[in-house]
Amino acid sequence: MNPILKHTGLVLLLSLAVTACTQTNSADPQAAPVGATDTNRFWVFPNPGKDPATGVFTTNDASYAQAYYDSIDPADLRATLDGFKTTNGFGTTVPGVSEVNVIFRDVRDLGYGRKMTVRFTDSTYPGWPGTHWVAVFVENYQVVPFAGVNYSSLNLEAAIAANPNYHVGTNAIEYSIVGGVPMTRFYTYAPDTGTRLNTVNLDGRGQKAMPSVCINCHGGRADPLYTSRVTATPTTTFPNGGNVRARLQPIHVDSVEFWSTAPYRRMDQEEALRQINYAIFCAHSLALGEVAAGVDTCRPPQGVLTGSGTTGGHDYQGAAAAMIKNWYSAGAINTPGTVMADTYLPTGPAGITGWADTAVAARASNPVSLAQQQSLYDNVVAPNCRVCHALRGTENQSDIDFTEYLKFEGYADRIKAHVFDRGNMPLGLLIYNNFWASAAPEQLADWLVSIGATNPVRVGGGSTGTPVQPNGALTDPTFLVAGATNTPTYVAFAKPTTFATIKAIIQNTNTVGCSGCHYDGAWGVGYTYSPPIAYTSYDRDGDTDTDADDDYEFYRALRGRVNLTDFLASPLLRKPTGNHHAGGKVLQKDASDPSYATACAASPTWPSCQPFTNYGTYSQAVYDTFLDWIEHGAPYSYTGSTPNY
Amino acid sequence: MLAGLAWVLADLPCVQADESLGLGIEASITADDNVTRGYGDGNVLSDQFAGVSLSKTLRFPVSTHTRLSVLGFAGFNSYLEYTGLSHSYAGVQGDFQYRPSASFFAPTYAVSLRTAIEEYQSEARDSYRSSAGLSVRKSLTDQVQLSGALNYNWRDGKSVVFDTSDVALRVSADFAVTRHDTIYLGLEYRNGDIVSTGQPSTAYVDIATAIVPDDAFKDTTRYAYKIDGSTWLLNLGYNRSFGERHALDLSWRMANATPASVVGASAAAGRIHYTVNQFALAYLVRF
Repeated sequence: MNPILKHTGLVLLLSLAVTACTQTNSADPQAAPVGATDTNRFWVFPNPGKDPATGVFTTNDASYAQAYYDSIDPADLRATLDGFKTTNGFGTTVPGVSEVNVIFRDVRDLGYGRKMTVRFTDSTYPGWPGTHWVAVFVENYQVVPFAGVNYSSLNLEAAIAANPNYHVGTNAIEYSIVGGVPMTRFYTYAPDTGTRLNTVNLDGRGQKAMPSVCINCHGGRADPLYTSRVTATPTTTFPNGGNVRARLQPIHVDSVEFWSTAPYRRMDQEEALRQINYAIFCAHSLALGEVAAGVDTCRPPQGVLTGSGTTGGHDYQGAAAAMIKNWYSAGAINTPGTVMADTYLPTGPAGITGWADTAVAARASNPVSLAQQQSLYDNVVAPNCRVCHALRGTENQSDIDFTEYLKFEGYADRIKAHVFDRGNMPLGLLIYNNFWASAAPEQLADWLVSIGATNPVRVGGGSTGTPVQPNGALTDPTFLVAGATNTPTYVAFAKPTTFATIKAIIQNTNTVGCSGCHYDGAWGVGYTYSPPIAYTSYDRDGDTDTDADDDYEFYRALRGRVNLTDFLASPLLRKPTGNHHAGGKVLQKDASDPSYATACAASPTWPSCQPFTNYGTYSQAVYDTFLDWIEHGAPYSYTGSTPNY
Repeated sequence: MLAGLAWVLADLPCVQADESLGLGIEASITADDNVTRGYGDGNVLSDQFAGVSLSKTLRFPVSTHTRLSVLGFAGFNSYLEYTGLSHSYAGVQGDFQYRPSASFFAPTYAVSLRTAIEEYQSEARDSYRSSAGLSVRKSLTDQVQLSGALNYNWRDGKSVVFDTSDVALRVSADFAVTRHDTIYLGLEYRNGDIVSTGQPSTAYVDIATAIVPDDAFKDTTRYAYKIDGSTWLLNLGYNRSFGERHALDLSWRMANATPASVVGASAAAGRIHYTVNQFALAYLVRF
């Protein structure tokens, strides 16, 4: 071969060797995909108020947030973070008002580095504790060095440096007593402009609307907006003047992360955190009948909450207050220098055994020992459920606060549904991930089996071991999309099922008797006060008559008791069948119930259940009619075959 | 490709000016005071490593004034403590050289291409390294030789942090003190990507163009940061030959790297930069 060609070939081969060797970045961390196949469901209520006409989750829509802000801040004094600070006097000196700063990383819940400034009244403030108020704004910092690392100590470092590159937003809360009723108001602001925002992305899983995203873990309710048709153009307003009945979350000092050097160590900030937790503690109302003594005298009484005297308390029962108090040497929360230490095991109110239920330990069927109860509480409930559930519940029904073992057990079916079948509990992405990275799922599953519940699906298909993690809120695109099953028609009720059908049933005081309790009586108008909804017809829109417009408002309110993303979870179905219902089991459709077979014809109590043969068949028909209505989108009426909403 | 290279080489006339086989073996030990290329407390780790390398040079005259030089090399560096840094490598370099005359003082110009593969005991650093450059070498006296080179270097790593590139300008001088003793000095400036390993810190994150966990270090969480910056390298050495084929080499190599940008926390923490000192003792044998 010609040497020139050979040399040329050699140079070409060397060039090829230099340029041809490439590889992919296979050693780099790969983020879990957040795309078309993922859902955006963390921090979304299990019942998000799906609009049957549009599919929009109404309580997670920006319009819901705007209506909220319009209610709680009609003059827009807090339309910016600066406005919020000015309105609450941040940076000013006022006798009886303290202002403290703390910086830590919220490891369990949001994962942010949090630079928190809290302003609150103390015992020297005029009229305190009746005039107690708290205002707080928290700058959130998040550093994502590479895919998959969203929550690390870098977030804390950024918060300490107040590094604007990683300031992802500012949340703000006000607590005060408005018109005799404690009220907590939530705001969120853009990190750069300080402009108030309708939505916030707390976990990188998409925008969520205010205040629902806050209520998820601050307690309270996200009821449907009022829709008034008094004027030609229907208007919507936020119910209860924006008082969602939420509370302030205490800071669980034991589980947050602190910096290793002064002045940001735990020891440097412990006292400021105690002061904050005391101010928060004083915002948690007393349980109905709870006698205020000692440190508890700063807490607002139930009567103030409901405005209906000492017998009308139907609001939050202060479950978290007992917990906060216990964190500080069982009651020294108002003593300077007291250090937080969480060894809390709820004992329940007087006469209740809480999470040391000896009767449960001794029962013949499926006993759960005291040690098992405490282990379940310490390893499953406290780290994964308590932070949000402790701020829920009302005097009417407080099972959901999980302060007693039997309350938790009473939710076994929903626990299995949400945790193992659907995968939307824990409701926050970070807690969800921590939960599934721990031994808690297996312990929870084993406990469910031990009390006779259906065994969750386990890895490998066996009956023990790690449960299968459901896609649910994490990656299942069909999550929160329910489909109609078209239950059989019950000729005794008008078809197709409309609001009028449902209204007729729930207002029939001769049978199910819903409106016997759910009425607009001494507790105020509609569902301003508990029960959560009134089923009677009255002047809901305040235009001095009771007409079709009021019926429509009634309908829109009733839609809040319907879950169009999980039909069987609808309160309209679950409550009357005895699930955590202050009125007990109203629909006696359970064949094991003795009254199931009571003949309608012979019944002095339920004369209107005829032509059904007995309570059971009538109740079943009522239930199925409710279900039929829900499965068809809970329409107000039909025009031909077209539903009207 | 390698088969093609062997086939091409096999058919070319090959000469060795010094009549040796062009085969070199080197065994060395090196102390490195900053194997992380880190900055700040807790980020600077030191270690020692032993190395063995084998090289073979072939030279092919092309014309009266030109020749092709092909260097093949392979070796292994074994770290004492941070074994994730231990790695083997193999590569080839081709230089197309031009010398305008046979005069002793005539310069030699070269265009070079080099490529090598590196396989680490960790994963992120596994790379293909390549370089293209121009160089010149000239004897000033019978004792002093100067050289200079301009190179574009790029690295294709298994991790994006080790996908790097830079432009390097190097000058060096060899001083033949005696027939067997040579002192050499080199100075190099690089502008481009630098990689520094440190514990998680916003001071680094602020200026890094890519970040990954550094899997070469297991003692605690450490990230490898790719940063746009510049590096000065100084190389000072002494070479003592024993006869025609054996030599002992003692060298000090110092590198100082500085990021191009200083923002946010990196400014507050003081300008992040790193300095590395390597002291090496090598024994070379040539056949």
